[in-house]
Amino acid sequence: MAIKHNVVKENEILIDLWNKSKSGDEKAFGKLAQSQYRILFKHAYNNFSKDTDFIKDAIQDLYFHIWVNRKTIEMQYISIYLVRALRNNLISKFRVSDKKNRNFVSFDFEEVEEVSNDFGAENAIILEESQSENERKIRQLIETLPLRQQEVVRLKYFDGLDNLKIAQKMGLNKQSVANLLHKALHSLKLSLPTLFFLLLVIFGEMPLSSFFK
Amino acid sequence: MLNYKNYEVQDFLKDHSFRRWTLEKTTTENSFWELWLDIYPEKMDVVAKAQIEILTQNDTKGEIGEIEIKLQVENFFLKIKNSKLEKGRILKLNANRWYAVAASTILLLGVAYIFSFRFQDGQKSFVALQDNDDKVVEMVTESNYVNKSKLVLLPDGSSLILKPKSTVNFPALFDKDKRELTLSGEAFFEIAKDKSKPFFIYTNKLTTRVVGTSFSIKALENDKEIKFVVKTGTVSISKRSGEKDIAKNDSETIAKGNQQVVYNINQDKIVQTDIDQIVTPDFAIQKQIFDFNETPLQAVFKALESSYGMVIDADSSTISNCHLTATLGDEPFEQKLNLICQAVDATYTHENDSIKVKTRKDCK
Repeated sequence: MAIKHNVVKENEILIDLWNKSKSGDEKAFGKLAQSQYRILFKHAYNNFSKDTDFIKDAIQDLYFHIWVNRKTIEMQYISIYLVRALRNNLISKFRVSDKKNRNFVSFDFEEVEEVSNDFGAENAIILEESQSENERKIRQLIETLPLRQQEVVRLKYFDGLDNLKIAQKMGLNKQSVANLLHKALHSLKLSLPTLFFLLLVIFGEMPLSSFFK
Repeated sequence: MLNYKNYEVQDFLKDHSFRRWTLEKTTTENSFWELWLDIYPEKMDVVAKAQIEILTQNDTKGEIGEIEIKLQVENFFLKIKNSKLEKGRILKLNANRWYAVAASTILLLGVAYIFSFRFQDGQKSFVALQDNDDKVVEMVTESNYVNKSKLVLLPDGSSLILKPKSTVNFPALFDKDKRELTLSGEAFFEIAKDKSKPFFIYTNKLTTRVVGTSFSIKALENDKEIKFVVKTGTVSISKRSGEKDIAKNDSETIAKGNQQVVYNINQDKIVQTDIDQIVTPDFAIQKQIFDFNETPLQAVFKALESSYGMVIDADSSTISNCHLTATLGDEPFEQKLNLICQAVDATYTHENDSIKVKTRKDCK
């Protein structure tokens, strides 16, 4: 399905509506909610359930939650955030509910183990998971950074902590954490292409000869 | 991880890791891609285009009209208004009740979040909210996704029997001067008497106002009419003017016991008829007369079970000698239970969606 509209331009309008919503502008939120309804509805319909009442309830809950937590939620791309949030919600629902639900439509990805029906487990995203290829490789690269930068990057991206918690953990202030992160990302950006390339050669994943092709 | 910085939309579409990140709740992919995007923020637009395409790739079916969407959003704002309470009022749920507060929000890497839901044969979703003034408000949504009717208990002791594919929405604690509930679908209500707190039921087009009665409402979304059948008591039905509060409404219809009111949505007409008896009941309870004369307790419980779809567990050996002589009417479920138990000196408890009854002594 080709992208028929300008995602970027549209998002600018949505971000503007979202910012107004954050300050409590119900009208703005209403416009946002209305504009995104169809994409959410169609996604749920084609990937989760054909029960339209069920879908409408799920979307209501989603909007309700977002409105109530509007002050703390950060969205970069509104449509993507909303669709993925709805997905996550529906995925949990279908994992723990009666599997004989006749409206259940198949998923787009492989089944992972059952999540137990208690709130702690439902909220915990992970289940046993091995590192992806990408994670493995980038961890190798991170090891080439100065130690404190390494720690900040790991705490933020692999442990999922926010800057405040990282600051507390490392005994720094928030600004120091931000600075460390900035430096780390900058180093990684510079070193990624060449260093990674070298890694490929060193670890034998790419023959040196290909360098000369 | 090869050449991602030079990837265009088409390349991302084919990348397995990228797809997993977009579609699944996986932390390993999340970690990598969040980091990668912070390293190359200039790729955000390309990434977004690719993600949208991946997410909506299969979404070819499922039409919904603009009007329906507008209605849903309007409905949503009504829920928002419904959930605001007076300043300084904090709600705590009664610990003995069998609902439990179950909402939590987790922001993970700024992108994903999850609701908690507790599942039994239907679905309860509880959202604890904090609005601007840091008040805590609880709204309860009860939906029925299975194919048999379900009993729903309300905070004031009223009860309703909810048909499949129906939903009700109400606060965990009613206001001090009124009781309000929204219905989509079909339900049979038994409203506890309280003259100081009229009970309002909002369906799509109409508002029903009662004080203490038993009746059914059929307000299905795609139906062209809304049907009310009153078993006992008095019910006032009026057209929704868009505002929650019903003041004096001259287009009000009053229905009493054994009457039926049908509102035709297209023609905007209300038709009221007397029915001598309910010929084809929508609910088993509509035909049930709770008039017991030396009736064995076992049979009394059976009558309740079939009316309310609630399993009542009692030790048959101990209650075999118990009989009940009583006429029950339109009391809500728990009130009926209370009355019966008082009469035979028994107690009851809620246990996993069924009722357990214990008699204090043998009824000899």
